[in-house]
Amino acid sequence: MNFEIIKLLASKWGVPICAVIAIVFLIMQAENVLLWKGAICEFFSKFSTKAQKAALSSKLRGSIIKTISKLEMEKDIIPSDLKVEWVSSEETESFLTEDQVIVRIKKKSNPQENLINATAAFVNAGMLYNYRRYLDKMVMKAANLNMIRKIVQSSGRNSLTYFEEEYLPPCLSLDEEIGDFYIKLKDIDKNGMFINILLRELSKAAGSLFGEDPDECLIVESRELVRFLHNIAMRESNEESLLQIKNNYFKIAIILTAKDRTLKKSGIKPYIHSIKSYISKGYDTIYMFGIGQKIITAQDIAKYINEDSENMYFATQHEYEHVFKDGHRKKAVVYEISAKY
Amino acid sequence: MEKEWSARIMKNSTMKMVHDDDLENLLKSLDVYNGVISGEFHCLYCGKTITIDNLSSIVPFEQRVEFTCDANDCQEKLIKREYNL
Repeated sequence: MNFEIIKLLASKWGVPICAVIAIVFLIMQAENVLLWKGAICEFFSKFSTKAQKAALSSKLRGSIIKTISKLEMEKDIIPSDLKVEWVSSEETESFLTEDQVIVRIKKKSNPQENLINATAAFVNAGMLYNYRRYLDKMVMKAANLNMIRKIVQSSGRNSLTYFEEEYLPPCLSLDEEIGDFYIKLKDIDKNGMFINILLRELSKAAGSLFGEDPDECLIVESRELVRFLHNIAMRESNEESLLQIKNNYFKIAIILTAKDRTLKKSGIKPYIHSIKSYISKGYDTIYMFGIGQKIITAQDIAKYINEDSENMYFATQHEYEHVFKDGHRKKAVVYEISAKY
Repeated sequence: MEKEWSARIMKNSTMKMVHDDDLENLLKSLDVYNGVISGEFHCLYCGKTITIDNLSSIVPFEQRVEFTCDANDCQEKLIKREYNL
């Protein structure tokens, strides 16, 4: 919005109305305001402790809120906010009663290091908090690293570089398997399946066990789910691969609205038919993808499903950015089709 | 020897932090400043003596104020500890 537009709006509606609109806009964009505040404070952080503190807490909170809201993640998957409370004095008794650790932020440390360590602490403490004990540890560790990377991406290029060059290598060198899972999850994420399928399915499956003892079967199947999604992520467009998995905890099928010839020949009917067929065969959730121009096809199919009153299933849309193997990106949607009740 | 403790890093979506400039004041208010200066405390993870320079976190442990140090391994354990519970 340039100055001329602001002047025009102010002369048309008056300054108070424009001010209200600006405030509403700022509230709606709270995460961006926090990130801007963080960037400005970082500039002054060499001269002032107050600015140093504000830079860290604003960037941390801004990048978390921005990532979590953009990715539409439920609270069961990860908390949507993190506030930093700066402590300068505390009574011993209340410190012991509250039972909460106080983390030291060193003045001379790289600001990116402080930011990434705090982001890592947030993800490790909060992601799938109620469910992680039911899931495979390697999958969880790799998923945590992947989530830290996604949040750090919102903090800016310097933060991401620090994460990739300084934070990640020692974590991956701890165990070859973590490295392998991390790379698999990164590929899965480029195809919009990390949050939209993997974390949602892990959360649902572990949620069904909540209050019970962990089941070895779910631990094994959570690794199997990663391998299944990775095969789909790595397939060539003309390659046939298994698009459904049905075991004790995961009964999901994937539909890719990608074949032009199917559409031209029979419209959306074959898709509706295959969704109904999966449902009748006992699949709990069908994930339908539409990439680029195919978004419209996916939307038409979802509209048909949601408007069909006899249908017991409902399609929920999630948006993401699809990253192809050659690095180019396209807008995409994935519909989660599952039982209404 | 490594000790088990229940205190959390994140509570009610809030993380508590202390900036270097406030550290001395915080330690004095918790009545542990002199102990840190005289080397009375040891890292809950590796057992190393805690100093003003290597102190990384302040932990409520068995009704006492304790610490972890800034060794890479101990920092890593602190960040990941809630996952390992």
